[in-house]
Amino acid sequence: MRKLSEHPARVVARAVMSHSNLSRQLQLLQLADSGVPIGSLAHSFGLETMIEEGLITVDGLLPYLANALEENLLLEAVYCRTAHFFAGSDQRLNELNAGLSALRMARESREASLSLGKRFIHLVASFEPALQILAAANLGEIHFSIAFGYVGGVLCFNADETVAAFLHQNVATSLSAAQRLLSLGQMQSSRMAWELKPLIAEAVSRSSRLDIQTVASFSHLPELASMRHPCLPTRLFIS
Amino acid sequence: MRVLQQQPPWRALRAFPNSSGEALVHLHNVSGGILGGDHLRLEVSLTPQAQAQITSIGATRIYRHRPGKADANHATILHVGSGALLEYLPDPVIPFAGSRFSQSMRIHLSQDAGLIWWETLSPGRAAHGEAFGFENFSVETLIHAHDGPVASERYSLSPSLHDITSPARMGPFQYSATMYVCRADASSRWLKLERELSERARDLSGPEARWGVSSLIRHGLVVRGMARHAHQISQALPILWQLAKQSIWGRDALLPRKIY
Repeated sequence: MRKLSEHPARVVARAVMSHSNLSRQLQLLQLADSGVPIGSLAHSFGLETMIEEGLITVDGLLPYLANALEENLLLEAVYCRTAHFFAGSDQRLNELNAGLSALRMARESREASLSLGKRFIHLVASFEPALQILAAANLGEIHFSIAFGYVGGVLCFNADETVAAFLHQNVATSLSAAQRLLSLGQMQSSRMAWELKPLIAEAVSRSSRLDIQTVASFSHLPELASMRHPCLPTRLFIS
Repeated sequence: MRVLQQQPPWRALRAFPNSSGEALVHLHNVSGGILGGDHLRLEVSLTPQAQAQITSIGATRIYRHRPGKADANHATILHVGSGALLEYLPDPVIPFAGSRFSQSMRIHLSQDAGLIWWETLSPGRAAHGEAFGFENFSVETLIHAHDGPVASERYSLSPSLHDITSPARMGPFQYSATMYVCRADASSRWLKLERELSERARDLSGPEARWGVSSLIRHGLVVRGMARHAHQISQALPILWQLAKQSIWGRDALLPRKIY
């Protein structure tokens, strides 16, 4: 009843804003989809080696991803959030990229992250040609987490939601890779993705209390697996 | 070698020339290890064209944390001058059960400076049945060259809080070794050397130990080994060191004179 007595212009304004917010959320959902055409499904980031060498089985996949959200994915989340904060200041991205490149010791994973980042920023630039996004697309290199966070910031997505979408995309991509490498069915994979949601939320929360000077990540075995990936006799994935 | 300042527990005696003409320096920790509350600082500068190999005289033992004392820490700063080569080859770090320790390492490489540095993390006093009984072990590493960062690592392990045997961390392995091989020149040798060392790393790998090699963003590569037993690290690491040093500097890698 109260709404009926509201000024018609205000009702229209709220409806427009509501549509706008909904539209933003749908855009973020699209970017968070593992099927976004940037080539992420061609990369396993060392998961292929770990499965090939028997270090990860179907039973071990969920705990592995849960722990990755406390280590290397948390690190990426902090870089994603920092890039979100830097939105509109593409000059700071070079420094951020150099720092993340130094931290990512395994060449294949580092190059995969840079390749996905470049494709992602070009994809977004093709339908959101904001000056800040075009400027970032012209950078020599940009990591995926940094590109994702930066785009989220420029497009005024909420920081937590941007980081959550980035992590969601990563987890979904890993599960997709695992489905092709293990006897893992779609139902089982979907269940894992569902169970990981609270842990993604926890990682998002932790990333808000850290910065690139304080975040720590111990991922010796995944890094080693990525270093060993070029030596696998047969490979389904580029990394 | 010139010692500008040293205080207990550090003790560096004179440098011994090895057969390659490098100055071999043994660093002594006369207290036998790092105690709770210790704040150790090591700063080494190599003048241009100097060639030095620095090693410890035994494993670095990190003793149990003492209530009321600050966490132990060890800060190392290494400056490698133009055209110099530093081989920093300490023995493994053994964090005892109940220890709390943080380590920071800053390395600066001038133009054409070279570095070979390895470090091995042990799970604790394995012969005592200890495995990851320490409270916290934190590491912060930055290798920086004249034209930008080369490699960086920052981690914090708290085995009572996080499952260290997860494949996202150590998996089934107990020991982790990392060796950096860097030369800050304009060479594009690293991908080729990565392939050569990777082949050897593959030969050295098996169910009990895994080795991998990767080029860094600039001026170097990293070798990573993980193993179930200490000897699997100590036997393989010098082989990869030898290959890398011979390939880049054209001379043999000589193990420091001491009992292994």
